[in-house]
Amino acid sequence: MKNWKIMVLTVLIIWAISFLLSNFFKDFSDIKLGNKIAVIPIYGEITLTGTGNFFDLSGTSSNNILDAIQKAEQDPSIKGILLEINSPGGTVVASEEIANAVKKAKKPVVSWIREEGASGAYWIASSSDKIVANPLSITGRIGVLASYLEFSGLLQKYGVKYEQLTAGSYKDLGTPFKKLNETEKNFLQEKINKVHDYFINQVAENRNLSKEQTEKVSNGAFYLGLEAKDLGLVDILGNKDDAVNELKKMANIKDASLVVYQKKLSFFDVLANVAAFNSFYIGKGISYGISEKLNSNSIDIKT
Amino acid sequence: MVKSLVFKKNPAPLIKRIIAFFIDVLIIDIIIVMPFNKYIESITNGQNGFSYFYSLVLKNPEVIFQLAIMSFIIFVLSVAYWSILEFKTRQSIGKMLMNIKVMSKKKGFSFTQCIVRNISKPITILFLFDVLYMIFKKEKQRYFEKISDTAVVEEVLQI
Repeated sequence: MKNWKIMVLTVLIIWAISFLLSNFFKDFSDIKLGNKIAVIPIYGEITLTGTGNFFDLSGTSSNNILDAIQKAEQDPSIKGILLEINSPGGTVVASEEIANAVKKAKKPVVSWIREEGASGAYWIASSSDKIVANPLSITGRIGVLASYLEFSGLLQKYGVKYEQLTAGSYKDLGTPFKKLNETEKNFLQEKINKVHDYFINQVAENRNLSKEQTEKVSNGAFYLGLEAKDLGLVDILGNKDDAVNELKKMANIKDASLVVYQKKLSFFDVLANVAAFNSFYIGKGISYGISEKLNSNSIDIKT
Repeated sequence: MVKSLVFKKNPAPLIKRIIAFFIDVLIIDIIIVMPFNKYIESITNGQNGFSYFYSLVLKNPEVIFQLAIMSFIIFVLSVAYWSILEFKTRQSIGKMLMNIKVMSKKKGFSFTQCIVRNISKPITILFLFDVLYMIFKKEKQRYFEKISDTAVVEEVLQI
């Protein structure tokens, strides 16, 4: 028999034996570990899909957090959810999605703000049942920010003129090639105000504060944990143990193991990210950088 | 003057051996370890902290028993993969791709020799010692290759 035939046959036989034997083992999915507390980390910028790529694995994806909350809700051994927050905020929709899921959770949820729980991250924290924050942490920053690049002056300096035909007066709103006119500025400001108002209403509702009270602290300023407690933005000043104890009290349990719910990137995920990252730039090339990107009229609205 | 071509057996280069080993490990991971993955994952539940595992074992002692049997099966099948292929063809898939071979330093080539030379591979600490032994010895043989009277060679055509 040829060598490669022996190799294929041996591999198949060993795989079959392994597959067969693996079926005799008990699935431990419903393993008894007593009471558990799901720890869900919310780190870095909050976006829909996360900012992670091969070079930057920081950031939180609302998709992953929603999955983690759902998983924790479905697991009967999980008695409560601890959101470990260290984030400056993120996009409006991603923050709102998480805040909404936290609000709807049937199990008690405690947010523990470590170094920073600002803006969108504070929105999420406010939707939990209790907020525990480090006395020196940065919280609040209830405000909305919109930004875009504008370098019409630079083009003018080099004698480049921007010409774009549009149907619809706001179609090229946010293009970096021209300055915003007053109407466009007002239009954009109106949208930002609406998002801000929605944000304030949500925080007021979540924290049982009056709208007036919330508006006072919603000028975009940040507060230290100890200031935030006086303003009613935080419930308890403390550390992780305090947050866990609070959660145990709320869940009416004495003992619980902490289980971290965090999506780990497999080797193939990292490879896929690298491939996607590289092929995007190889495919689009430098032309993307000087034309499409600048022509995309993209205005980032962030909380 | 008549010149003849002969195959000379030189010790296989280290880089080829390393690549061959990783190819084999990848294959073993797919055919032997993967079928057990769902059980391993159900035990670890996505956690890798020692405290989690400790509290798990404390409350569920049968986990240790199952893990021990699982590890033993993976160990036996991994050794079998290398031993059967090397006994039958003198090469594993990784070695075939790297064009290197196993040869016996004594007369004949037994299955026991194959088992002995491969027994350390699935045991990390033992294999580490085995590799360190190879690096520091002039013969460039692993310790378990030495006691099994085998070596990995590369056939080079020479005039």
